[in-house]
Amino acid sequence: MVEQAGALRQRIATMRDTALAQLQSVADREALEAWRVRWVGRKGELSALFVSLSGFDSAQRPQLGRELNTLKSTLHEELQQVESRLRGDSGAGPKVDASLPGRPRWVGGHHIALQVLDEMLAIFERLGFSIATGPEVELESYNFEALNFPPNHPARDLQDTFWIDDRVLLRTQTSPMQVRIMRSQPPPVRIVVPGRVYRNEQIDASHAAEFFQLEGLYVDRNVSMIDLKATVSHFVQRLFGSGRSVRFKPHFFPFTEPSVDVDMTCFACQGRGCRVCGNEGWIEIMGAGMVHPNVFEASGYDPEEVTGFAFGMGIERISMLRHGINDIRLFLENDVRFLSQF
Amino acid sequence: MRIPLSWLRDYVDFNVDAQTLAHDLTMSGTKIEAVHAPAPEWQGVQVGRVLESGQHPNADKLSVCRVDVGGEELRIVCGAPNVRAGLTVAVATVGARLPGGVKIRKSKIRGEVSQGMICSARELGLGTDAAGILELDSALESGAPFTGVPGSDETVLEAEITPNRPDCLGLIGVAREVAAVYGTPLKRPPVWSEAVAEPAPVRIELADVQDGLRYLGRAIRDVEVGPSPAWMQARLASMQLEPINNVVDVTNYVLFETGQPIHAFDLAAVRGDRIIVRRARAGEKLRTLDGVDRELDPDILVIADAEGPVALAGIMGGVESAIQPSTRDVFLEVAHFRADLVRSGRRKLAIDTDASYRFERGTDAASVRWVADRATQLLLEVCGGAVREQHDDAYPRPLAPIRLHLRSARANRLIGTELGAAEMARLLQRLQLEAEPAEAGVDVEVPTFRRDLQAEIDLVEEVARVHGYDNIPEDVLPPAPLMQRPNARHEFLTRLRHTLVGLGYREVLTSAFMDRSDPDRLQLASDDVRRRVVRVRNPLVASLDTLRTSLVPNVVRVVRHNIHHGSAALRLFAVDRVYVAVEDSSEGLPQESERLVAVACGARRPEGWAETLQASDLFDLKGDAEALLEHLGVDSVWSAGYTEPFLDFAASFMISGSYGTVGGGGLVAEEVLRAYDVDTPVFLLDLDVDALVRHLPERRVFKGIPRFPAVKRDLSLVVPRRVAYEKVHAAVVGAGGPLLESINCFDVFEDRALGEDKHSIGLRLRFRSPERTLTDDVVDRQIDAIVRRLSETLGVELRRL
Ligand SMILES: [Zn+2]
Repeated sequence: MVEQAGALRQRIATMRDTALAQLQSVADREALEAWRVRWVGRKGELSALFVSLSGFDSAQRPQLGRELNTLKSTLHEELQQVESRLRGDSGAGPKVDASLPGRPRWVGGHHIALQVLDEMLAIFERLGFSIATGPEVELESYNFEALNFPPNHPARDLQDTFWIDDRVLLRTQTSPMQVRIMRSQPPPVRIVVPGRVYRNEQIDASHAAEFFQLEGLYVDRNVSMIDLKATVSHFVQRLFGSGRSVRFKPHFFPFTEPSVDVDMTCFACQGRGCRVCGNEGWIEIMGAGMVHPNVFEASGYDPEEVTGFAFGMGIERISMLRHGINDIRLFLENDVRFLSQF
Repeated sequence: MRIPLSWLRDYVDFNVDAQTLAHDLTMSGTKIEAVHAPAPEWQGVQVGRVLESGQHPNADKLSVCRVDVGGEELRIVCGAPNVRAGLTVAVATVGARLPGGVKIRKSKIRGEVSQGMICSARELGLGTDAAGILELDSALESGAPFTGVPGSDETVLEAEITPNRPDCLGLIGVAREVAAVYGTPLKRPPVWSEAVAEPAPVRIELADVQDGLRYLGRAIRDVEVGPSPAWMQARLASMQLEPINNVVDVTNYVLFETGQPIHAFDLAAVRGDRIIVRRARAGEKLRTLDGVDRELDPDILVIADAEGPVALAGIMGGVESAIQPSTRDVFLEVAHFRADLVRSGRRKLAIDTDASYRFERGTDAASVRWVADRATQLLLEVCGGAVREQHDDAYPRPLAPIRLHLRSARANRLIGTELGAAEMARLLQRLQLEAEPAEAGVDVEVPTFRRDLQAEIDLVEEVARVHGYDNIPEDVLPPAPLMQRPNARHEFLTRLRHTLVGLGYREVLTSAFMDRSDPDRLQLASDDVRRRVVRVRNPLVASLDTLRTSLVPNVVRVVRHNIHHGSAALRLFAVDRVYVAVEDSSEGLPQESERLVAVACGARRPEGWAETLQASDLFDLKGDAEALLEHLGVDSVWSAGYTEPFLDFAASFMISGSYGTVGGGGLVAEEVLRAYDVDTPVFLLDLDVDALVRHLPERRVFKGIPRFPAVKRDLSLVVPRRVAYEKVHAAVVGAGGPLLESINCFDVFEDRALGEDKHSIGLRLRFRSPERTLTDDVVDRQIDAIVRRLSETLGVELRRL
């Protein structure tokens, strides 16, 4: 191969000399066209050299390619000059330096959390989910009671709550929209709800007092955990890539039963275990489960007639996982040095 | 919940390593968050005794100690606040290697020689405590190799126990899960069972049957209070609990074993031979074990003797009745209290204890007697003494057993399995449930320790998780329904955001809270609706208790942040919610609506070689706003001057449409910028998204491509400065007739020759007829009419060249 590369270099040098020498003797446009076809035309000698590049391995090809490109631009420049000479141009007119950068423009962009959210919505829309939104300042009865959180029960401790008054709060989850939607329409339901939620938590690199969630609800006759698992697996592979596996662990949420914690293979170590996943190989990405009969009843649906699944996930958390963002506070800080990276 | 494995093995056998057990428990619903490996072995770490600790001559926070390590005396510089003479400590001598790879060398610290290091728990790999040095048992001999602390040779799993599973807050409950996973039997620890004849020395009274479900009291006579044996101390240490004395240690041991909190009183401190479980009376007080004097009220359930409260029921005991070294007779309490009562009581008093944590999640009322016998067994074993009298057990209203029927078809329909009833019964039996296949399903008698199983659906979950979520297929996507419900509003918001990005603006996402002072900083009038704020009762930070009624403050803060961090040229926007309190809304909720705020500041264009840098001005923002509305197809009227207290009226514009104001924009007022610590001009657009939506064209109708050419005429006008461009524009439109197609202002310039009070405006007019090619004289007549109108109504004249 070394010899062949040498041979090609030799041919490049020879071609440069011969072609340029011939060009000097071109006297009219006809001759120039003949020269162009022979050397730089679509089936000309230069093209043939480029074709021969494919015989070299990937280690040599880039360097040889660069040398050929140099020859190509030399030949084209000379061709242009002879062409203007034949046209009678003096060649002294204004010339642009096309290597200067263009006039810069403002480049806009979407906030990364909303980019990810938009992508997630698109995936679910293709699966037949509609999009709904609802109030962030919510009634306690929707946020907790109708979702099967008994009053004065420790399950409420799972979500530290901002209260407006005794009956109004900042929703701690997008799940109250499950109830609002079911009360407003008959089954079947296939809906996703994006929106801001609030937790009265001390803020640090991984905790925010306000963040976005995407809630999903699917209700019909005969919906089973198979549908939940298939939908969630499909979603994860669309958002994170088809190499991801997903696992479903039993968990507890008051408003679903059976309840599920969904893990995805760690994107950083592909499941071997690393610091990102706490050596587990798995990362939690969402909570889900089959809609609890009590929630159906609170929503005016008959749990004997319909079954369904629901899921919810944090948008910032998913964005952090997918893009390697290490501090959730960056999302609300809006430093353009952060925003412009996405 | 910590699960020390050697302790767990008392109740169940398992032949897997810690990692496998952790995985299997996690996958069956007991989430293991960490596996703590046993402590490492140490080389070159010895037990030492601090003989003397003196101030370091050159450093305030350091001490220089003399430490005896068994015949040899070392000088060691130590920075821990708790070092003092007489302390028994772990000394890493010169040459020692600590976990994490630290090697100890002889060194000089601030000029003082140090021949080793006195270690903290963290330096020894025994946890995270680095606040001070580890204090060892003073009975250890100096010079002996350091072999850890009680419990440190234990492998411990750390489990997250969800609120529905209080039974797993005891190791026997966890063992039940392990038994279910591996199909192995549960082992029960020995309990005391002797017949005694004497009547109970203390009578139990329940003031309200509703409040105190069950209370069992038993006297254990002639105990010897002292330290508990090493094995028990080690087990408590593996739960990260300090040993106190053998009686108290037994109560804690039983709590971790069974999940049932129990309490021991000094029987001598129980006055009047009566224990009454009742609500506290207003004004009653109790000093609890933590030394705090508590004011009680009727929301709090107490344990009282004949004279007053002696303990907070289910939360914490009182100081007066606590076990003392001199205690001879112990009164043992095993009880079941109503979960919500314990919860509201401990919240009111702002205490959280191992006991209240378990009671408020629910304990097993039926097991009270068994737990009492187990505790008695351990007390007799560890503290000596004897039971001579019967216990008194008040349990007036035993909980009814829960019987459930699981329809196997229902379970299969929900889980997606095809399990038979017999198979389901077997799965449930592994959880120690009494399950019998019955007609088309399984009959289950729920054991008292699983009061979370209240309905059929709870059994469905148990079947699913014991069967294994992994065994449910996941490869069939459900069919998409035929019809989706379009969400026009969401689609519009998305389009709006995309258009702004196309115009070069960067999207920001800001907090939904604003500062209390923001309405003032924006100079809002006292009756401005944006002062009708929604406030949070319990904010994280006192000043951030207000939901925003405008996007402006937080977007301006983003501008400030970026200017302060070196990005002075900005194009930013936010499309987001604001929250305004409204009276008598249907649900009593505030009105939530979306607004759009866009800002431009700094250079007009990013720096480049082809143009000199110019600062953005009002017309950069206005041009973008015009492009945005044109793109959206909003039919709008623009006028100069927007009455918005945070904008400079003289450099602002208002946008309205046939249904009212859409919004406006302009230069942010200087005082406002100053209030936000921004010192460059910022141009800001603030639009009402709902108003935009109202003005959207329903559907655009093709108007045809013009077939005849347009006639172009340029007018160069001398305009008095007091006449706004929009007046000129309106006059031209008014006089131009139906053939006037467009007006383009292509030039505005100053010319001294015109005088101070005038400037020149260039207009390019296009005339076109849909029916024919226009002739010059038709157009000339229109131009004459326009010029006349301008002159007569506005004093605007044609410029003479
Ligand atoms: Zn990993």
